Amino acid sequence: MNMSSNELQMAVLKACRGIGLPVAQAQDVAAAIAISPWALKQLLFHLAQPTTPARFEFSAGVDVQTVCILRDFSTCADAARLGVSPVVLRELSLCDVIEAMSLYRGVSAKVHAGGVLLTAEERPVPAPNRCEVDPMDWQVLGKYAALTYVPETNASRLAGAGAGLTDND
Amino acid sequence: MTQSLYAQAELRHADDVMRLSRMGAMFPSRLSFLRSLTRRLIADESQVSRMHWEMNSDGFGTAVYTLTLGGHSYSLFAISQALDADMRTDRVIAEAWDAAFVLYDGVPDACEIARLSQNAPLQEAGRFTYKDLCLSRANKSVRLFDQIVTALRNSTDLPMGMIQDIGYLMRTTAVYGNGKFGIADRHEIEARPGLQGPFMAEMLTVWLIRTFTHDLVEHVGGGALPESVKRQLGIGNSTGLGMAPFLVSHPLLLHSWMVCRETALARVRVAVIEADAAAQLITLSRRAAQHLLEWNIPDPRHQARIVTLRAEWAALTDGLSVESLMAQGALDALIARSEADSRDLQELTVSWMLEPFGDLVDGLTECMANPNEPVLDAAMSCSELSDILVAHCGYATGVDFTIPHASDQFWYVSEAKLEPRIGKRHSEPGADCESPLDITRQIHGLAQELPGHSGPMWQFLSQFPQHRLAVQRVQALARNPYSEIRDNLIDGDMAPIDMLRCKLSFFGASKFDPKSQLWTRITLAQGAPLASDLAAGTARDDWWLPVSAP
Repeated sequence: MNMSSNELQMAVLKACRGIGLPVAQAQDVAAAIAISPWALKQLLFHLAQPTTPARFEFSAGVDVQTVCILRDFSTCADAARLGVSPVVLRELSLCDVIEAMSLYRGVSAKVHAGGVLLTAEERPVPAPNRCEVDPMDWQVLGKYAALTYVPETNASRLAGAGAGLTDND
Repeated sequence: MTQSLYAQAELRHADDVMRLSRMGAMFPSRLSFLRSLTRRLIADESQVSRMHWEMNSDGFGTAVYTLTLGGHSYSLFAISQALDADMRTDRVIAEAWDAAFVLYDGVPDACEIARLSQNAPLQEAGRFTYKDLCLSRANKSVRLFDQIVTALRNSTDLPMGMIQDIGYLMRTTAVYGNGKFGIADRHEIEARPGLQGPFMAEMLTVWLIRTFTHDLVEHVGGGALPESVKRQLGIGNSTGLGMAPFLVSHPLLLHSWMVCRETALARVRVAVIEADAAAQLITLSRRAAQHLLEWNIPDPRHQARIVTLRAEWAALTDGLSVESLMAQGALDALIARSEADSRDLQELTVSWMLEPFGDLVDGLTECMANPNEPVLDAAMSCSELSDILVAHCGYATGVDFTIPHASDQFWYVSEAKLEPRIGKRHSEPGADCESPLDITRQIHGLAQELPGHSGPMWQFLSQFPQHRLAVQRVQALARNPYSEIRDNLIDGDMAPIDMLRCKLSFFGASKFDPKSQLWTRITLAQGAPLASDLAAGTARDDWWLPVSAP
């Protein structure tokens, strides 16, 4: 399925909001996937994971446990880009989503002591482009996005913006 | 923007400009996007060709119009189909329309016309390609279309009263761009000459649709409309809640639009007025008075505003002369006088004043596109952010959200064709799926949370990730004062129509015809040059506020 980059970005944004991700973090994930659409399959895996609050420890750099990549990567990348060192995300493996987010945020991610180490690294960020998306992946993404939609009632249908249900003026 | 080469007065303060009550009083101006487009078409000496016309006697079939703009060819594909009356609705939930359109990159061949004929009528349910730049659909103004057809067929008088009252043959109900349903991303075309400005491809689409509607009614009626009548027939539009979220989700773009307009006003307020500009202002003041007289709408509340505005405009412009307008400070004094009356008068005065000063203000339109989004300053300290909240966000921090009325409304997307809607939080289901247009409440929540914290923003956000958006927006607001609507968009008294009018005025809309607080009809391109005017070299950029007998 050939998609525009904005179409993919908006669908990812909605899907991230659908699982309850804060808007700004959802925007970051969506922008990252738009420039690295090959990470979409891995994103679907992350969307399905339950989330718990992360535990940040600042005594030496940043050490984070029970990380939700989609929610917490932005802040970890902020710290790494400001030169905080080390920034370590515990109990994580490298994956396409981390690579996509790293590319978008200008950091590098490396395996480190049972987790992932983030360091600042300026890399040319490719422009988002059209891409091919597996229709099955698109369907799954749509299911998460649909979690932001409100079921219709007769009352809400009639109260929508417009001249009733027909308009032959 | 502040280090201008031009002399300028102080910009109006964002606390005043960015209020819904003022945004909901805005008028089109020479900075409006449709005006920019037609100036470009005139400068380029663009010529429109009807490359394809396969239409039966009832006006059902396909057409293609092609023009060259900035060295690129673009085509409007149009398909007109029979539509049962019980299917005709301007709402998003519609499934079929009188006509559907695609702005195509280049000139479509027979194979592409076949593809577009299949997909364009499906609109959101169709699939489109990188060659398709905009997607749109429109419904007839049934009463006017049929009356004109009848008059043309019978060679009787045209219904000039209806033409003046309605002002269009069809009204679009959506114009999609930027990648929707597979069409081209905006970034693929945004650098092209003529399409750099905001919504230029969309404006080109609606201007060409207008041409199609003229040809269609002449085809079905079997006669020609006078050019002067065609100029009065713009293209209508029905706009609902779908347009409002854009202003909230693109804060830096909103800032660019507003700051350009405010800068234009600031330049004009201190401009030296030559005799020809003064004479033009007087001519335009009469045109505005005529426009207000011809602008009559059914909604009593908005009609009352128009009636008040007529009187205020007459009082403001009474006695103006070339000499009085050429006096030093005359325009600044008029602005000051207008501030004693309604915001409608104030905003009409702003738009009017810009009109003769193309040399001073038209260049600002090149600054109205802005692809950027707010970026977090992660190093900023909590105390610096607190200072910004105090200096710029009183409109948000001062709201008492413990009062239910302050959050009585919520924006949401219905699962029915994803139609944007507004619900009542305390009596309707769905608030758990609320769309994030509650920026004022989010900023308020941030301000509540921040006291007692220190250190850089990234550390604060590691504890409170839910405030990241609010932090970005507050930081952006400090540098871009017009980036936020300084009102509470979930307040029980908030009227979305004000947001619609602001955005539509930037498009160039006139004859606002609000049908409720949720939606409005408007007219675009009424009075604008025709394709035939471009062909004859007689097109002029002089159609601010259309009137029936210019």
